[in-house]
Amino acid sequence: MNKGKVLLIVGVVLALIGLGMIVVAIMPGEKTSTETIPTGAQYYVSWNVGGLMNGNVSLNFSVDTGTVNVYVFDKTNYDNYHNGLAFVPIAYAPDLPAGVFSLELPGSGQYYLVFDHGTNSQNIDQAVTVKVKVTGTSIMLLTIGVVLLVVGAILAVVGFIMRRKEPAAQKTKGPTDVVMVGQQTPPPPPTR
Amino acid sequence: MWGACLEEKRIAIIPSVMIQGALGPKEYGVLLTDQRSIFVLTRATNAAVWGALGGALGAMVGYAVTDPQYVAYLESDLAALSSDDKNISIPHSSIRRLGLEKKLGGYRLQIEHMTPEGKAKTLNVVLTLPPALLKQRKSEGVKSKDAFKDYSTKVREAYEHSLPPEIGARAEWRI
Repeated sequence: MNKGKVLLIVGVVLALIGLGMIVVAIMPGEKTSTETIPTGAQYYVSWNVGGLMNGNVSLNFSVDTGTVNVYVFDKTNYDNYHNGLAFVPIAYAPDLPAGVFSLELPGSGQYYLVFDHGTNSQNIDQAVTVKVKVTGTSIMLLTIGVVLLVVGAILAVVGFIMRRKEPAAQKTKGPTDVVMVGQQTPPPPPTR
Repeated sequence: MWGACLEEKRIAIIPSVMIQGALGPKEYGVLLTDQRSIFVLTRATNAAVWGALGGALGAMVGYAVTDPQYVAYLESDLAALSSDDKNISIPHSSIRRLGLEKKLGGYRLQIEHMTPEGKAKTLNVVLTLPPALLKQRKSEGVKSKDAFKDYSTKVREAYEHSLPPEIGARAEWRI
């Protein structure tokens, strides 16, 4: 296999992967999962989302027993919450058995969705089922996708040009028209 | 005792036809002798595999990166060409019906024949104009449609020269 052909194949494969990543980066993602908050006031469960341009989180959750408090934190306030320091959530909803809400993420950083025990629910295990739909553009995937697409396209074009520049004799071997064996091709008609 | 040794005669070469395979179209060159048609595989694009990887674009790339294989039609051993599993060999004596007609999508050659196992089989062949020939004809001011017609006429002539008279007389030419 010659270099042009290899470049063309590699380029097209990279470009297709890049294209796939771009599509994934801009398509909304949806995920459902269930986590249990163990008995005890110090326990919580969390999900994180981030690295999105124009990010939006739609949330649908329910608890098997009792109530939970719901928080949305940025990274700094999540760390403060985790370490028992003073924190300021972006959004907060106390003592809910279930709920639906939607939140526009203010930036492209990491955000945390946290559930802890509601009032009078600290002495039971609570299973929280969360259905999260995230829309927005994943900056990292988009960047990698665009880079792969561009690099792949360049390689493919270079490979294509290299193939076209190969000596004609290498490509057009053998007859190019119907040949009657043993018969001469008639000469072209005389021009006046 | 006198004996006669009848050597198989090469009559004509058709440089490019296409037959649909399970994994995509396959390109063949056809070597016509006075006894058989040998379809020699020159390019298997495996378009289905490429298509699965990259859709229509993948299939096109698959075609673009698969070069046609060179075949020395005049020098190759006929028995070797004929016995190669990749190739298709049809003895002219086994042909029950042969037709060439213009259909939607090009000129199609249909050969109904009996296999050595005694089964009836039909080979559907699409005539494909080699790109170099098309380019040459276009540079001469010939339209693609006419270039295809000329090509199919030459294919007809090639078959008329190579088929036994009784089979040639039954052939249907609708071009």
